[in-house]
Amino acid sequence: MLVVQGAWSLARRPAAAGPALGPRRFLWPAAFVASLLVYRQVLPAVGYPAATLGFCAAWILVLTGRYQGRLTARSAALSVAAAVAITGALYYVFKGFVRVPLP
Amino acid sequence: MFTDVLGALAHILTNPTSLGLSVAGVLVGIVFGALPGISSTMSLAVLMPLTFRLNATDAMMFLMAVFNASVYGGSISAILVNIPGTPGSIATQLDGHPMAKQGRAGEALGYVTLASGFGGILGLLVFMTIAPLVASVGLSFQSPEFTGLALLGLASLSAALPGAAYKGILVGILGLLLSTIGLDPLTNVLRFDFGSKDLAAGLSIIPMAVGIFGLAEVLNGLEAGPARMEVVRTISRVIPPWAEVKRTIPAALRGSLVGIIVGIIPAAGSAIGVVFAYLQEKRLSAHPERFGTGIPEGIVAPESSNNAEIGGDLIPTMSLGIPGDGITAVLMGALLVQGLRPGPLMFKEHPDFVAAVYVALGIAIVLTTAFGLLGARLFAKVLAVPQPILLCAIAMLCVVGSYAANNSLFDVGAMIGFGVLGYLMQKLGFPVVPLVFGLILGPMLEENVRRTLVVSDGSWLIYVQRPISVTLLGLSVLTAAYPAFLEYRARRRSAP
Repeated sequence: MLVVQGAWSLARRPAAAGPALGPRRFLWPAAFVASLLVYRQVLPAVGYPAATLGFCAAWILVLTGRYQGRLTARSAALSVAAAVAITGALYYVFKGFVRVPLP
Repeated sequence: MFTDVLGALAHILTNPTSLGLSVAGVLVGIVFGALPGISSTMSLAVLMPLTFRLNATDAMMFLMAVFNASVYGGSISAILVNIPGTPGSIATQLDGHPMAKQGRAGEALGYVTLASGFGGILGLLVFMTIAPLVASVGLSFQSPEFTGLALLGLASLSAALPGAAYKGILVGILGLLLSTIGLDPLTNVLRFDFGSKDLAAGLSIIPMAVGIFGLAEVLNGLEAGPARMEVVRTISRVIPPWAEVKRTIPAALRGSLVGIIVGIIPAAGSAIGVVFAYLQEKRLSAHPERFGTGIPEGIVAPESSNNAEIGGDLIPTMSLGIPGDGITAVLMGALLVQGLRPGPLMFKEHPDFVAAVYVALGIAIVLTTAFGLLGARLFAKVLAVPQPILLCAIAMLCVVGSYAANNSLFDVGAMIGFGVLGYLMQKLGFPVVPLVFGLILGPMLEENVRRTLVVSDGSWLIYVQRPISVTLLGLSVLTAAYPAFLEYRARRRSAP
């Protein structure tokens, strides 16, 4: 929810605002770790493809919004496409090639 | 040895899987190395899980290719963006980027590629010559000598962070303590497992390496925010004129020599070697004032040193089982996963595997040079990958890689924990490499100390009664004390 909320607020922020500075920058690593822990917990229940796709899409959207100042429809579509590509590539390599029984 | 190398070469060249893995490793290694913020150690740590289901030779084909190519790849961003892709490319940018800004980016990439290949081959030849000799001396070692070796490796950690010798030692001790989790190697009694069956087997090197080298860097990237990069996009002819190349051969030779020597010294780090090679070349030059303006010698000396260091690094790692630096510590972890413990016995019991390592590195160097010359323009394009995609892809690679070690979500949790630990350590100014050293050398140290004491009926005097043992212990004391002495002297001199 926090990630989605963050994405939403960043998407609404005007481009001129720029990235966050000062001690707030430590919030990004903290939020990322927290979301990774949640991802690890939901992984067995949701399964690798859905959990990874959700995690990647959310974070790429949030970070693209942070880095570009605002999210456009094009960058949002590219972010989701990138998330699909990352999930698919890792799934193919580890499940198909390395034969790891992913959850 | 020559027959073993020929046999390994014939086997690998006729095996499409091995060759394919080497090609893949080179391509991925160059791309990872070229991306700013992804070090060679991180590249190897996050890609190592891909080799778990491979046989040892194929795993080495891939890992050696990633190792060599990522070391080379760091120079691409150093030249085109003025940001070193890896710490070992820190000196390459000093002349590489100015040359690129003069419209000679292709030429700069060409010098880097040729110097990397030259240094890599020299390093390999020294590795092939010296490692068997060191290993044959090592074969006469017994428990007291192995104790001395492990202590020497740990003592070298005092040099891990210049100016703060104690920090390296402290982190190394933390690694040693972590290595005691799990089954006691001599009595098989469980220690510090807190009733958890996941801890009964001890902490695996994989989640630790992936966490502190991979995830910690992702967290650093998230904290730093967007990097402003001004990329030189025009890449002219890549192969420099032969007359110019010939003129830089002495610089490449001197740089390679520095790299090999620095590589052999455990925990010295690639940045030290390249800076030393650059400064040495500048000192010897008839025109030192031209350094920093984009001259070939300023690129060739550090870059040949950077890749020659690989061979130097591998000497203590393979022949004595003491990792030369962070990246060889990760490589050693990959070998342990394969059930192979580097050290003198490996040269006696698995000469075919040692020969395969030589061949794997040789093929990696040749392929890196070829791909570097042919695909420089293509590899430069990876600098356009948006950072959010990169950070997420690496984080997910860390998760799947640590899971793949034992198909365990506990390892994923451990990786996240070590990632946070590595990140916090960097924020507090502590080096992270000693943690891996401690985890690798811990079992070796513990087992050999206890074996020695069993043999000597509990008498510690055995360590000073054997010449090699006492020499190694003396060297350990000197190695640990020397950086501290330098710091003390510097403080006294700067005091009013």
